[in-house]
Amino acid sequence: MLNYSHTPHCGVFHFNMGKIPKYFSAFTIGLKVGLTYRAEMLLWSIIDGMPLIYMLLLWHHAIPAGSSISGFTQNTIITYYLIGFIIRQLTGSHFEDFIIDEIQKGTFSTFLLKPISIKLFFFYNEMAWRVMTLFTSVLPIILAIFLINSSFLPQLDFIRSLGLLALMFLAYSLETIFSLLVASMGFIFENAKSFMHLRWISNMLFSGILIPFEFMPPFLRSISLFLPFRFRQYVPVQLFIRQNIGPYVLIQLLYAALWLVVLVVFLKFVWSKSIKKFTAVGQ
Amino acid sequence: MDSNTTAHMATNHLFTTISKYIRLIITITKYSYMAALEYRFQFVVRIFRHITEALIAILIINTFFYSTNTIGNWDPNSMLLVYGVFGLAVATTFFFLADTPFSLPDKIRSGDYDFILTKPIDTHFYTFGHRIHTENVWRLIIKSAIIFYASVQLHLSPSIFHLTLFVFTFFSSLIIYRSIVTTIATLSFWTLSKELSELTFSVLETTKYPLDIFSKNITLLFTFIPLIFISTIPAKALLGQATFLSYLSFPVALLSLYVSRQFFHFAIKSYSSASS
Repeated sequence: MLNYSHTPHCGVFHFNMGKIPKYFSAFTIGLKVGLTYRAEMLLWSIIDGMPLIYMLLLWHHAIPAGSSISGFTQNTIITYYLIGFIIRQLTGSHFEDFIIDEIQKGTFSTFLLKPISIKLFFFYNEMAWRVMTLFTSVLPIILAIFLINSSFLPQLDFIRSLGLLALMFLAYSLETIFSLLVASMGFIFENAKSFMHLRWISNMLFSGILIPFEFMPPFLRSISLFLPFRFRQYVPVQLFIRQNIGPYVLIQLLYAALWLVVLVVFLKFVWSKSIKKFTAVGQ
Repeated sequence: MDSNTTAHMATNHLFTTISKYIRLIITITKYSYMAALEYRFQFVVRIFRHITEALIAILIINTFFYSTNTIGNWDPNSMLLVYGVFGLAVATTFFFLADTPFSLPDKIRSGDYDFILTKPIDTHFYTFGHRIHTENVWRLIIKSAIIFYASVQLHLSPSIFHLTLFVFTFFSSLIIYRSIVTTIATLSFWTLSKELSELTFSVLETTKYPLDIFSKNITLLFTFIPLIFISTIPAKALLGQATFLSYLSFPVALLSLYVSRQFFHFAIKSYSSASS
């Protein structure tokens, strides 16, 4: 039997066994919508894959076989970008655009009136899109890698696999929080999509998507190693590249968990302040 | 009516038409600039984004050359020149194109496209030119600065011939870039999807680096799909490396424009209004 709380859901991650079925519904709704728009999803997988192909070709020329840059050989750099692409496809979160549009139209009230945490709704809903991405983007890439050169996908032992799963879950949670933070700006600013651009720039630069941190100037590397964007690509990829990862994984998991706690509190504060600015349309 | 009078009337008509479209572009630019300044924060963020993108590109290009002096006969500064030319082409095209390829499917779906069809001006021009993205002025400035910086580093002093060739090839690249984008956007009349436009831009992004560094087959492919004319050929002209493709760029541009317009007019015939 479902146990609905009647208190307004301004809280963040309440955990109630009775509420699991309704958040599972949020997941299945996302899955159904994803299946409806499967052609668009496939197109987006190709769109996201194009820069990867080009970067791999360029790096193949930039680091000839037998040479290296900052410890990255030709094989390592290709592994970095391939694994990084797979991981960020599975940990991305992009629903802030939708929320901002709903706020601008004034129809976001339909979400506020539901007996469900909006944040958790989108957390589980977006997870369904990650599952769809697994089939439209990740599995085809992995298959292609196995057919071309399976050495680009190093073997994972038990500790690395466990660490990777935990890091990916934390990375996905962090990305969801970033999306919610950007979306909350929609309550305050008339054109909040500028924050999407800021987030995009920060993510591209400080997560290691564009270049590994080892290639950055020292000051930029320090900033990147501090900010939480690194858990999206740079840190998980290290599990495939580094030799001795035991202590590294534990430390990074702790850092990620710490950032998660800090950002959850920050989100709760920002959301509660910004939602007071919202005015709905209709009767 | 003798031939002189006919020619005179045709010339007058041509000048009248050109001045009409120039006045229209000026008016659209003025109102687009006013609209852009309504959201000053977004205006500032966009400038910040363009500057950051440029700095990241310079960082990436320098990284490519950590362990090699050249990649396919291109050194860091000449590769930066190609990036600058690409950026300038994109900025110029977007200045006049704005986000119309992305908004077209929504207009078709909602029936708002009828208001574009009913205007007494060229439909192709107005479909993709009724908004001006004035924020791209900053992108133009930044990319021009990159070209200038790369030219200084390369100690470039192109002859009048190569400078003229650069202008022609660059102008051709604008036409080709816009034609590719508008041709794919025209598919919206059937697909009602903006993802194809996103895919097009993603593919076109590959031209920000030289395309002739790859194998002959890939370079040939990029010649037939005329991507090589967008940045590589104009940059080579500026570097004083005129090739057969440099002279081919303008005819290719005219051909792509013709195909784009013909395809658009064919697509319009399949449009059925969503309104009464």
